[in-house]
Amino acid sequence: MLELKDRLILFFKSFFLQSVFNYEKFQNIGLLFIISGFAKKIHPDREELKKFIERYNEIFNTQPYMAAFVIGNIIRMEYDKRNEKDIENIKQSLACAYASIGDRIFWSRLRVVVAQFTFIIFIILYFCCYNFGVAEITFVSVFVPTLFYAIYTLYIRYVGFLYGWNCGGEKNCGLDKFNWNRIIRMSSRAAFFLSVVMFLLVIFLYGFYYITSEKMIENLIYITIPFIGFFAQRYFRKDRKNIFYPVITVIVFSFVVCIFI
Amino acid sequence: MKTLFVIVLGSLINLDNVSAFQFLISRPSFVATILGYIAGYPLEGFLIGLLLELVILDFSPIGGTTIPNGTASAVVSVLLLGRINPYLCFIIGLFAGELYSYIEKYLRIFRNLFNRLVERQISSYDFNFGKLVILSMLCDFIVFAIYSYVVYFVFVSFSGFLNSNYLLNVSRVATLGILFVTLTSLYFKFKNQVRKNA
Repeated sequence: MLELKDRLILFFKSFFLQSVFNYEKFQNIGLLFIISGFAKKIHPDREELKKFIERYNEIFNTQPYMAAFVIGNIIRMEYDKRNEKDIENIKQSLACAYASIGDRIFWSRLRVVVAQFTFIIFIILYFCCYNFGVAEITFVSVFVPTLFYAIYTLYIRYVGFLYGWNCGGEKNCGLDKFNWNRIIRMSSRAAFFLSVVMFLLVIFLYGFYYITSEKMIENLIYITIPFIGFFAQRYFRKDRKNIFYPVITVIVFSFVVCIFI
Repeated sequence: MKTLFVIVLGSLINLDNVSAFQFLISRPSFVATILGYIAGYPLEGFLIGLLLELVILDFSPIGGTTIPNGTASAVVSVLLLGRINPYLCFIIGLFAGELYSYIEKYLRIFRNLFNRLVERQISSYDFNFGKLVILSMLCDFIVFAIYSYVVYFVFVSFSGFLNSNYLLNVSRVATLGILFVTLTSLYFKFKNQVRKNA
């Protein structure tokens, strides 16, 4: 069985899955690093161990947090001495499925939610608790959302090993343990709601700090610039250009209008 | 000495980006706040970091693609704080992060060589892959540190020219415009996702 010590070693080593990320075989060396200790236990014979390692020195690419589900599964299948071809097929199909789920949840949504919470916590603390001190406010704003995110990813990584181990050999291993679609839908909604809140807060603060009535020409520029940013983003997004296109447009616009300041 | 410390700490935190952990401590707002505090600019560091993060959130590191490196952006911006106006620090940092994504791509191509090392190790029955992991992270660390220092050095050399009043106004207006670009981008991105999921 997978003892607590083995589990913890696998768990710790899984943090380094992407350490030798390369374009030839992606995370293969990271995967070898994670499973080599376990492999030595189940294959005390050097030749068998070599064959085992050679089998895993192939293309492997998945989302780093979700890799635990795949790794738990394959080590269980290896432990049960399942057919090598079956193991390879299940490994690749699970790696693809979890990569897609993990990318959608973590990279496309939760990463954004963390930044949005940072912004909102900062605004609340900055205007409500100014006597805390600026450094303290900024530290709380960045640490709290990061800590929650890190704990959540640690949880997913740890339970991933357990689920993977427990259902080793099943093609839908772990895919039905969480309602991934619901998590994706909820995080999209949360991110959208926080985007609206951020937009409103920024518009309010921007008007308060920048639209003053001292210099007419400066006021005009400050009123215009949000619209330039908005329309530049919409124009370039139509052609699926990345954000640097509207950013450069705004910079060029700034060079022109600042001649008049 | 402080510059060196900021570069070393930034290079270590950068490992969180891809190589190890992925706890999001390498996100620009986190890095810029910590390094800004060390450099004596906690609020400026935080605000620049947050703005950088909003821009970089438009990219997702999906399927092995390289995206602008937020840590590089944050480190360069914080290093330049106090020498160049903070708005310009943000803009320079932003492009420094984008440039680093190309270096990251070459680093990944360079790491293909590690596959030859693995094959050699396997054929000689050496199954200790930890040393390759350490070697790779060391390469990452060194490349990042050198890059940060070079960009910092180049822009500090031109700081006299970059501190003109005109550039201060340009960078201030541009920074505000970029803020609205990022907010628009986030709003429509998630509006579409919510509509698709409905």
